[in-house]
Amino acid sequence: MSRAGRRVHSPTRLVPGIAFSAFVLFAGLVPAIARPAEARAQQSTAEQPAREQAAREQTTREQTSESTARIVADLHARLDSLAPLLIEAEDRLRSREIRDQRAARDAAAGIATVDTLRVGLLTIITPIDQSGLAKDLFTEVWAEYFSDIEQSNTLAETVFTFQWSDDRVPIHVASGGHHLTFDRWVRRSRVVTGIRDALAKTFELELKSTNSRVSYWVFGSPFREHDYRDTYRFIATTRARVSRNCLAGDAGACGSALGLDAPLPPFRAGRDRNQSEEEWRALEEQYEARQLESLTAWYTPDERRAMVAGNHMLADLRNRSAGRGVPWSVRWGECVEGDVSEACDALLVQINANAPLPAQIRETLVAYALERGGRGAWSRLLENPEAPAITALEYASTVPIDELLNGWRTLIMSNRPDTYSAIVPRGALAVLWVLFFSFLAMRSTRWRLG
Amino acid sequence: MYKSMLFLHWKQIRPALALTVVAAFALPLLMVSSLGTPPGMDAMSLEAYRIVGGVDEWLLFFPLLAIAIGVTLALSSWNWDHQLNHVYALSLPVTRWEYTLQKLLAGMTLALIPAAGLWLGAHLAAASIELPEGLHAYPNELAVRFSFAILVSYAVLFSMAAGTTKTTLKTMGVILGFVFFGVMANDFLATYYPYFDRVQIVEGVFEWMMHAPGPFEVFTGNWSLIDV
Repeated sequence: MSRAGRRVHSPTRLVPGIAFSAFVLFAGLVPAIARPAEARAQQSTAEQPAREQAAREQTTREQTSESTARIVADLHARLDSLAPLLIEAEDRLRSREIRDQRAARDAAAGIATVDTLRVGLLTIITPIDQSGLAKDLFTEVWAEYFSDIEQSNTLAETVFTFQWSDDRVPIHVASGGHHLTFDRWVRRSRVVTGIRDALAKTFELELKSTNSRVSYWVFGSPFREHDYRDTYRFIATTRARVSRNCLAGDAGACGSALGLDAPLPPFRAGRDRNQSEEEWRALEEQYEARQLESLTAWYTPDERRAMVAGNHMLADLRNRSAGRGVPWSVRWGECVEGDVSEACDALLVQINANAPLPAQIRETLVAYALERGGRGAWSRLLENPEAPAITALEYASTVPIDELLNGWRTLIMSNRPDTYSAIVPRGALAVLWVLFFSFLAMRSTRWRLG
Repeated sequence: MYKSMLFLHWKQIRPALALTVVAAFALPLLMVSSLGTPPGMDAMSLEAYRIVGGVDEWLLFFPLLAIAIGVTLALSSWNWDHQLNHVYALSLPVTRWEYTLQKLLAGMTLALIPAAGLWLGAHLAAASIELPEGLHAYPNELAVRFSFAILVSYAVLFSMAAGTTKTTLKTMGVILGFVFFGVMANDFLATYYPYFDRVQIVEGVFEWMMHAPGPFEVFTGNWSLIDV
């Protein structure tokens, strides 16, 4: 055997070679293999969120398109439901145009469709066929509630249009005017109330336009309808003792409860441009001092403490600032828990606590003053806007304030709710009706028919 | 005979009457239950006008309960007569008016039971709250009004139930016809006579019935347990 022939590779010697070759191969291949795999893995890792995002976006898009489709369908449905309204509106517009054209034609031909009436100080424009009715109604309202008014600048500039009909004529007033329109089915009493309310509102605006002290004091219109039974109930049930003293016959207490002496906050009068900060502050301090005086006249210390304790706004402020040592919470504690009267007063001044009887009740006093004053009382009330409420009321009513307050108190007392005072006569009436129906029951012919 | 009428009626209406007594007793108590002091507020803040305002919403239930009691009593009083075709009544040696009177009185006696329940409840309710100055409780007056209201509704329904079905239907027909055709006739007349613009006949009649001296004034008056 030749040496070469005998040079048979022994398996044991081949193993390292194979292992080496395998290692080299592996070392060479691994990066080759690993790189794409890694890249794939990296690519896959990089692509996965993108895919997920894309999927999410796709889902969102689908959802959005679905919801959009739903919204569009919904809007279509809504639009469809609006179609009858649109048609109706168009019809109305068309019929209004036709009426306008007819009115213009009539006007050109000299045929009047509306009439202008004068009742008292009122100017009323109404369709010609309703002029008699309008005259009756306005005359009735004017005579009943406003006949004592001799002069009114606002009323002189105001035009009222009146229509009590389903088929309305277009009436255009250059200055706007008050349009009083009522459907045919509305009851006459409601129409009368509507006219009265419109006139009362006009006088309210006139009072407000004067910027007078009385206008700040009452807010609303003294000519509106007042329920004196409710007024009595309110006065009798306010927490302030001064109100009940008023009902008991103390005219001074009435004035106090109504806040006749209430100071006017400086911001009501407005701030002068030339006023310095110090001057303004001095005015505010002056107001606070007067407010403090009024508070002690309106409420007893116990009542003032109860007002602070029961005031939701103050309680809220106190809760928010609790534990922080801010003045609200400190003063609240001193007032409610420590029973320190000054602390209560300071808090009440801060919230501008009002007199016990509100503006609605004050209106009844102004209404009474106008009634007492008779003819020209309204003009007198507006004559001097700078006058305090007491002076203005005395001047309008032509009687001293005590007499006025006594008369007003008597009026309120005469309207005291009867509660159960009439229980005996009403009970007797009920018994009579029971007897009547019992008689009917006994007269029934059932057995004879039976 | 009155006793047997009373017993018969009592036997029939016992469960319903028990319910009405409970309702009448509880109503004043429920009314004042909302008048407590809000949490965190001083007792002084229990303002009088809030009390009056707070009880207002309950006032409607008093006349409604009275009507319900009156109707229940009236219908139940004739129930067994209608069921037995008046055989029992006809077998008695009394005239019809005497029989009806006894029945009426028996029902009226039973009407006093829920009224007494309300009286007790109202007194309890009034005692359970401290009223501020200026307000008073009227438990006796409320109970008296309640009794009258029950009696009136009882008498009206009793007289209707006492008649034949035909008579009852006729009566109801006349009332409904008056309401329906009265309004139409009013509108029609108003087109020719302006006077009818001012006067609403149906409304006027209802107004008259609901206010003195009308029969139903007792339902529309003041029902306050607490007032000035």
